[in-house]
Amino acid sequence: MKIIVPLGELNKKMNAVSAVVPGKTTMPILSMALITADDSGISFSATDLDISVSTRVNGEVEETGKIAVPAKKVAEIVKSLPGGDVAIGAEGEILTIKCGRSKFSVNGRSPEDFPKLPKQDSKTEFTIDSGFLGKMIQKTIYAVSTDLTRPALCGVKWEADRGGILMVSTDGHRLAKVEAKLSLGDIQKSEVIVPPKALSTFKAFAEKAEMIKVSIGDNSISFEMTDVSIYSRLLEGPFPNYQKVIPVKNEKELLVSKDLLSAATKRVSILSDALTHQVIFSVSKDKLTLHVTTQDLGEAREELEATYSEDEMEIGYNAAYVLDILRTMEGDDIAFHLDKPDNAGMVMPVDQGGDLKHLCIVMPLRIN
Amino acid sequence: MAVINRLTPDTTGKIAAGEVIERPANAVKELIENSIDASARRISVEVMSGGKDLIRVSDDGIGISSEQLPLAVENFATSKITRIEDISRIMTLGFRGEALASIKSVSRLSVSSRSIDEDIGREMKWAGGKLLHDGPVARTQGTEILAEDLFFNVPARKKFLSSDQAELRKITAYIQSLSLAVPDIAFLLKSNGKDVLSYPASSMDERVEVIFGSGTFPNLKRFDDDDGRIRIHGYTSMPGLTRGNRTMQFLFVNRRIIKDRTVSHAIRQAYQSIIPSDRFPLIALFIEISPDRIDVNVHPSKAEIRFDNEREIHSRISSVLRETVGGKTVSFRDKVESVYRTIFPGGENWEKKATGNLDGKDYSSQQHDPGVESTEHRSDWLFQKSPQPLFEASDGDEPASGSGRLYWQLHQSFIFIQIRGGMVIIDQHAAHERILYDKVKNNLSGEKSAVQALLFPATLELSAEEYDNFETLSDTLPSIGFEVEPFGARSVIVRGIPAGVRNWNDGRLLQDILSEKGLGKSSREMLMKSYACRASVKAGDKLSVEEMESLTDQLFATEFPFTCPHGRPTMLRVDMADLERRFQRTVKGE
Ligand SMILES: Nc1ncnc2c1ncn2[C@@H]1O[C@H](COP(=O)(O)OP(=O)(O)O)[C@@H](O)[C@H]1O
Ligand SMILES: [Mg+2]
Repeated sequence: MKIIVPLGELNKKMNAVSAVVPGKTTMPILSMALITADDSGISFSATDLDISVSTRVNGEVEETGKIAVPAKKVAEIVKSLPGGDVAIGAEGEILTIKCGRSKFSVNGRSPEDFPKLPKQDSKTEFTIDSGFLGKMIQKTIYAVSTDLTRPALCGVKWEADRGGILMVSTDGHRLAKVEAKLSLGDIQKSEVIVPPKALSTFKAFAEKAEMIKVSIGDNSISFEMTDVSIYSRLLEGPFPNYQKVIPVKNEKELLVSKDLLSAATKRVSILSDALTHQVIFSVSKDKLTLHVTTQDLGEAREELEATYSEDEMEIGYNAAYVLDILRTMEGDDIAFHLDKPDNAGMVMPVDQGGDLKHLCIVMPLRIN
Repeated sequence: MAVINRLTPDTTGKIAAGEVIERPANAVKELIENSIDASARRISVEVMSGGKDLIRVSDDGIGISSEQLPLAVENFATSKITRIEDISRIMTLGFRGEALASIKSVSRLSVSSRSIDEDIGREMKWAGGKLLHDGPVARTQGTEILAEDLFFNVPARKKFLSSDQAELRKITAYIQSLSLAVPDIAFLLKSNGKDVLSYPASSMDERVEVIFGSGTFPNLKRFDDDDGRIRIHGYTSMPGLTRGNRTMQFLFVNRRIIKDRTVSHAIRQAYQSIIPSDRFPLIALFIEISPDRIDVNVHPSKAEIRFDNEREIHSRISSVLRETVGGKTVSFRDKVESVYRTIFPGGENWEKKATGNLDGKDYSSQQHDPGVESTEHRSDWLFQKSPQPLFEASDGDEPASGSGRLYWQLHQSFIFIQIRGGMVIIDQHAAHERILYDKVKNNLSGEKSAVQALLFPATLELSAEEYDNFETLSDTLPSIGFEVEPFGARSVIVRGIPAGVRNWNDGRLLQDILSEKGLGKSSREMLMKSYACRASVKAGDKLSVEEMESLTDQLFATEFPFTCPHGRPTMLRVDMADLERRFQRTVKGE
C-alpha cells in the first residue's frame, strides 16, 4: 500500500476515527484503526464493536492495500508533523509515515485481524438535514437513564414513519419527547432504541448542515454523511409505554420567561442539597417563587413574574432536571402544565416553532 | 486502728460463699487487695514458678498488731465489717475475712507484720493450717505474706494449674489492671528473681500511659462525667484504635475491678457504627458511686456487683463515651475541621488554629510498645503517628487546587487528594456509606426526607420473608424516602424513592434490603446499615471531580467521618515522609 495525503486532511480524519477507539480494552486489535486504499479511494475505520466509524480520506492512491495501525499513536505522530504532504506506506505489518525529513516506521497488524465491519441490515431509509436531526437529538439525549438494569431506558426511542420522526427518552424521573412532522417518503414504520453513544458520535461528526442518509434495521442504525459513516448497534426493548404517563389533565398553566427562570434556578440551587438538588416552586397569582432551604447551608429565595391564575401550590423539583429542560427548550417563554403537587409536571415551549413538537415531563421531589 | 472481729454465723451466712483461691493469681489478688486496704504506698510481689512454688506480697501499710495476728488468719475474721449492714458502706476491697484463712489451709503460709503502733513485729508460720512457728520479729512497719507450695496438700487443685508462664501471665495481667485504680501506689513484680513490672507511684495519666503503652496513650481520650452522686471517668480509645478482644478493657467501681454486662453493653453501644462489630475499644473506666447504691456481695470473687440503677449507669456511660469519641466534643470536631481544612485549604486562619499535629500533640517521642501494637487495629490514618506536622509554615508546597488536579480516582474505587505533606486516600464506597447512614439516621429521628416520585411506578414481587420484612418496616421505609404500598398478593408498588439514590436498579435496591436476614422490628440499625451499604456508590463507579469533591465535603459533615458504619476506615493518609522512606530517600533532595 502506498498513499499520499495532505497533512491537514490526514490529521482531521485520523483524529476522527481515533475518537471511537476505546481508551482501555482487553482486545488490543480494537485500539487499531484500519487504513484501506482501493480503487474507490482511501478510508480509515475504527470500532469499539458497538459503534464503527468509517471516513473517506482525500488523497492519492499509488498502490492499493490495507493495514491495521495503532490509532492513538498514529494520530499523535500525524499531529506532530510540520506540514506538507504525507506519504504513507505499508509493507507487511509495518506502517511507514514520511513527511519532509521525518520518517516513522510503526508496528501495525494484519488487516485480517481487524473486526469485520458489519453490513447494515437496512429496513427503513430516509434522508434528513443533519442540523435538524442534531437538534432533535439534543432535546432527548440528556434524559436517558444510566441504570444498566433497564437497558431499554439507556437509549432514545425513535419512531419513524412516512409522517415524520418521534424521539423520546426517560430515566424514570423525567421524560423528554420531540416530534417532527416531515415527509420522509414512502418508508416502512420502524421503532428502535438508539444508544446515546451513537447519537453523540453522530453529533460530533455532523458539524455542517448537510443531507445525510439514515438507515434503520432490526439491530442496527447507520448515518451516512459526505465523508463519514457511523454504524451502531441498537438497544433491545421493550421501551416502556410512555404515552400512558403523559399527563392529560394538567390544566393549570404557568407561563414564565425561560432565561429568567433558568438564571434564578441556577442562583437558588447554589444552596440546594448536594444529593437531592431540591428547589421548591411556589406558584401564586402571576408569581413564581423559587426557594431552597438546606440544613447547615442556608436559604435562598427568588421571585419571578409569571402568568398564573389557578390555585396556589408548592412543588419540589430537582434543579438539575429543571435546568436540563430549560436548556433544550426553544423560544423565549415556556409553559408549565401542572396538576397536583404530587403529580407529574409537563413543560413545553410556548412557541413550538417550525415543525417540532417538544414536551418534557418531570416528576416532583417531595418532602416526606 | 481497725480491730479484727470474728463475724457471727448470722452474718457469715449472708455473705456470698465459695472458694476463691483456685490458682496463684487469686491468692495474689487477695493479698494485694489486703495491702491496698491497709493503706500501703508500696506493694511488692515476688513469685517463683508462676506462683506455684512461692508468692510473697509485702507492703508498708498499717500492719497487723501482734495481738491480732492469729485472728487475721482465722475464717471470717475481718477488720472491715462487723455486721452485714456495713457492706452498704464498704470502701475497702475486702470484707469476707476468708482470704488469709483459705490461703493458710492450702499452702505453707507465713505472716510477718509490725503495726504502726508497735516497735516489734510478730511472725507466724503454718503448713496446711498447722502452726509451725510463732515469735517476735524485728522488721519495718507493714506486712509480708509468704505463701509457698500452693496446693501442696490439695493435689487435685494442683493438677489443674496451667504452665508457669500462663500462671505468671494471669498474675501480671491482674496487677496491671488493679494498679490502674491506685496510681499513687507503687508496684513491683518479680518472677524467679527478675523484675517483671515496676510502676512508681504516679499520677493517673502516667499510670495509664505505662499500662497502655506510650504509643497508644496519645490515642486515648480522657472523659469525666461527675454529677456529684455518680462519677464516671477514665480513658477510652479513638475509633481507629481497637482490639479483637476485651483484654484492654479495665472496668472499676470504687477501685474494685468488676465484670459487668451492663457496663460492657454500654461501651459497645457507644462505639456502635464507629468501629467494626467484632472489635473492642481500649478503655479504662472508673465508676465512683456511693457504696449503698451497689451490692458487692454477689460473688465470692467480689468481681460481680449490682447497681441499684442499671439504666442510669448504662445511659451515662454510653453517652459520655459517645460524646468523647464522637461529634459532640469540641476536640473531635476540631480534629475533623483541621483535617478538612487540609483537604480544602483556604479558610481563614486555619493555619494558625492548628499547630503541629492534628491534635496538637507531639508524637515524635512516641515509642512503639510491641506488646500492644501487634494486635491493634490502627488502620485509621488520623490516629497514626504523624512524623511531619500537617500544617507547615512553608508555602511552597500548597495542594494543587482547581479541578482535575486536586482529585484523582484510582480504578474507580479510591479518591486521591493531595494535601500538604502527603495525600489522603478515600474509599469512595465506605465514605458514601457513612454519608448515607448519617442521612438515614437523621431521617429516622425525624428529619424530613426527600422523595423522588417515579414516572413509572415499580411493582416488586417479594418472597414470603421479604414481604414479612416489608410489613414490619412499612412505618419506617417512608421516613427513609421510599413510598411503597402493598399491591396484591406479596407484591408492592413503589411510587417514590429516596432522592439522589444512585443504585435504584429498577427496584433491586429495595428488594435487596428487604431480603436482608434478621431485618426486623428491633433492627433499625441493620436497616440503616443495609440501606447505606446498598445505596452507596460502589467500587467501580466512575465519579466526576465535582462528585468527588462533594463526596469528600459531605463526608466531613457527618458525625464520624473517619469510619464507615461497619467501623472500617473511610480514609488513609500517606505522608511524604513515608514515601521518602519507602524510596529510601531519607535525605531530602538526594
Ligand atoms: N497486708 C495487710 N495489712 C494489714 N492488715 C491486713 C493485711 N492483710 C490482712 N490484714 C488483716 O487481716 C484481716 C483478714 O484478711 P482477709 O482474710 O483478707 O479478710 P478481709 O480482707 O476480707 O478482711 C483483714 O481484715 C485485715 O485486718
Ligand atoms: Mg482480704
